[in-house]
Amino acid sequence: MVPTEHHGDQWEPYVDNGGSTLAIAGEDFVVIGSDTRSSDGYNINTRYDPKAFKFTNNTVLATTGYRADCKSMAKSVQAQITKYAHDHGKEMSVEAMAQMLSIMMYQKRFFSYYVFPIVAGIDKEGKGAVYSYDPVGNMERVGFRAFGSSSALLQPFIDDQLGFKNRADIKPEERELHLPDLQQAKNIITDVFNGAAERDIYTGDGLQLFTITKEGGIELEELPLKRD
Amino acid sequence: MDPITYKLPHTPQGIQKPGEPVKHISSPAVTGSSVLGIKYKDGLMFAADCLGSYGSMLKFKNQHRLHAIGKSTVLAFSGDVSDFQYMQETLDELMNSERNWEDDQSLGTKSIYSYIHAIMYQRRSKVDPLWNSYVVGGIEKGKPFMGYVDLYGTTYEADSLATGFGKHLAQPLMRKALEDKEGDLTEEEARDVLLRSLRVLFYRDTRSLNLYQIAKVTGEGVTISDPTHLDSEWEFGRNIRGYGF
Amino acid sequence: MSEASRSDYDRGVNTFSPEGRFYQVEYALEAIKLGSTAIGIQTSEGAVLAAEKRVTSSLLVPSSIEKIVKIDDHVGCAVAGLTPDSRIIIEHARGQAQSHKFTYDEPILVRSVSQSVCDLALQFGESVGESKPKMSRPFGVALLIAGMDEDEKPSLYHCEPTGTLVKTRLKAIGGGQEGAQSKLEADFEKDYNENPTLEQAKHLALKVLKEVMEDKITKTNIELSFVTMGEIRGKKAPLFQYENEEALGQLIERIEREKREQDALEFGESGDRMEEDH
Repeated sequence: MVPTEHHGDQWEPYVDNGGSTLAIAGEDFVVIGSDTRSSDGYNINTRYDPKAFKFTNNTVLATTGYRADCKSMAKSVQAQITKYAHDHGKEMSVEAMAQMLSIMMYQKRFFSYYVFPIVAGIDKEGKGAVYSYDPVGNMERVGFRAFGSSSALLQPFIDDQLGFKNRADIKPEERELHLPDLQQAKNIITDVFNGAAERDIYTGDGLQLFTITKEGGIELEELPLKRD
Repeated sequence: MDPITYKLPHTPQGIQKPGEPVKHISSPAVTGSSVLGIKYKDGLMFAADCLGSYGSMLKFKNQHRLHAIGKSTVLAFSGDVSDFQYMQETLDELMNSERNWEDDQSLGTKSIYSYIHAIMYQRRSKVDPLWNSYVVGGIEKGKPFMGYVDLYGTTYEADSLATGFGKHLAQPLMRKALEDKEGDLTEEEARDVLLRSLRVLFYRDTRSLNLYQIAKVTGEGVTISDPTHLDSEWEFGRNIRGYGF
Repeated sequence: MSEASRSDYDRGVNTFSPEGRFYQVEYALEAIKLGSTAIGIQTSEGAVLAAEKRVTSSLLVPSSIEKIVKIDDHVGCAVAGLTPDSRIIIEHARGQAQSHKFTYDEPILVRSVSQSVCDLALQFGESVGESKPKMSRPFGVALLIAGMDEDEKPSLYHCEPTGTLVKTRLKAIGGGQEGAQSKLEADFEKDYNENPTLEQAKHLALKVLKEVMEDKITKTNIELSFVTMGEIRGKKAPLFQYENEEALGQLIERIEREKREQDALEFGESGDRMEEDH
C-alpha cells in the first residue's frame, strides 16, 4: 500500500515504510533483530532508521509498519514508563509494559496506529519473554515472532526451526525441550536477515541485534546487510 | 452542447452536505517541486528551483523555496505554497516567543525539526494535512543535522535528502557522490552534485525551472544565494529526426 | 492561644492561622479520636489489622458495621473516625487498584495505593474553575493500610486527614490510640523482641485492643484480619483475609484466660506485698 496520490476527496493517512523484525525467546534470554532501512514504495528513504529501542533495563520494543505512528507510539510508551517509575518507585516489568501497550493501542481502536510491535524482555521469573501485537492491540505471548515486510519469509522458517511445526522428528509439544541457546538464536537471526535482504526489497542496509539477559542487561550489535 | 470547463487545481472535490462529518482534504494549488539537501565538510548545502506552479502553469517564476529559520537552520519545502506560508508564520511566532525570553538562547535545528514534525503529524492525524514535504537542516552544537518530514508525518535523517522527483532523480547522484568520497565532500563537490541534480530535474521534471537558489549552513551561519540561472544544453535536439520532422 | 483568635481562623478551610496552623484539619484529627480504636502490626511474615466495633444497641446487627475492608486481593485497611467518610476513600483506593491491574497486569504496590489515598485527603475546599473537590471539608478518618507486594514483603501504612503518609510497623488509631500505642510499643519490645510471628501479632493486637475497649471483647464486636502469603486461584500469592470465626474465638478465649491468670498472679503478689508491708 503506497497511498502517495489522493483519489477524489479520499486521502489515506497511512504509509507502509517496510522493514522487518524478529524476536526469539530462550530459557533465560531474548534476542531481537531488526533492519534499519526505511522505504516508501520503490524509494529508500534512509538506510539508517532504527526500529528497535531499549525502554527499560530489560525491555526492548521493536515496531514495523508506518514509521510516524511507530515513533509516536514509542514516545507515549516511554512517557508512561517514566511516569510509572516515578509513581511506583520501581522499573516497569516486561509483563506490565506488554499489558500497558495492548491497552494504549486498543484505546486508538478507531484510528489505529498502523504498527506491528514486538515487546521483548526478561520476565519476573527470569525467563525470556516475547509479546506480539496486531495494530489494534490484540496481544499474545509467544516463543518467537517475525513481523514486517519479510514476515512471510521469516515466520514459516522459524515455525519449522524453532516451533517444530509439521516435522517428523520433533513434536511441537516438545519445543520446551529443544529451546535454542543464545548463540543458536543469534545465528538464526543473522542468517534469516541476510536471506530477507536478498529477497525482500524493503529489508536491508543494516541489522540491529539486541540481546537481553538477566545478568548482562541489554546489548546491541550492529551488522551490515545488503544495500541493493 | 456542454460548456467547456477547465479543472483547476483548487476545484473542490466534493460538496459538504449538512450533517456529514467535516471534510478537509483539499488538493494543493500553487506548488513547488523538488528540493535537495546534502551534508559536506563545512556543513550543509540545499538547492531548489524558483518555480511556483499552478497545475501545469508556470505561475510564479521567482518563488523562494529555501528559508532561514533562526541563525543556523534552513527550511526547504516542496508542495503547497500557502501551506508552507502557514508553517512559516507558525515558526516565526515560535522563534519570536523564544526570542522574547531574552536569554541569548534560541531553538536549535533538532528542536525546530521536531516542532515541524509535531505539526505535520497532528495535521495528518486530523486527516487535514499540510500538503508539503520538508527538508530541515542546520548546525547545532557544532554538529550538522538534516531531516525530512512530509504530510504523513514520516520522518527520517540521512546525509543526503530530496523531495518529490528528486527522490528518484537526485538521490542516486547525491548518494554516489557521498559514497565515492566516503561522506566527506568539499564545498565545490557538494555544489557540483546539487547543480548536476538540478539540471537532471530541469530536463526530466516538467514542473521545474532553470532558475535556482543554493543555501549553505556552516559554522558562520546561513547564506542563501540570489536566484541564479541554470545552464542547460538542448542543442542535441536539432539532430533528432523523427516525430514528423 | 486566646479563644478569640482561634475562632477567627477555624472556620474556613482555606485560611492558615497566624501561627501557621490549620484548624479544620486539626479538628479532623480530633474527630478520629471520637471513634473506635483500630490497630495495625507489621511482622516479617505478614501484617495484622484489628478493630473495635461499637455495638451501641442489642438490636444492631454487628456484622453491618464494617471497620476493616478489603481494597484488593493483597491489601486491606482499617478505619477510625467518621466511617462514612472512608467510603469515598475506599471507593477511590479500590478504583486505583483495579485500574492498575487492568493497565499493568500486576497488583498495585501497597505504597502506591496508600499514596493515592493520601492524595485524596487534600482534595477538599471550594471548587475553583475546573477543579471539583470531593469534599467541602477535610476527611474525618484515619486509615491503617496493610498489604503485601509481589516481592512477598508485607507493609503497613498510616494515612491521616493531613495527607501525611507514614510507613510503620505498629500503629493504633481512634479513641484509644494513645493508650494502645504505648502498650503496643512496650509489649512489642518486651514480649517479642520487636520480631513477633504473625500469630503472635494477632494475639498482641487483640490483647491491646481488649485493654482499650470499654465493652467486653467478643467475637462479634471486633474485627481481625491479616495479610500473608496465601493462595489465589491455585497460585501462591499475597492474600488479605479475615480471621475465621473459630480461630478468632480461640484467640479471645486465650487472651481472657491469660488475663485471668495474670490477675490472679497480681492479686497474689499484691497480697504478699501487703503482708510484707505490715
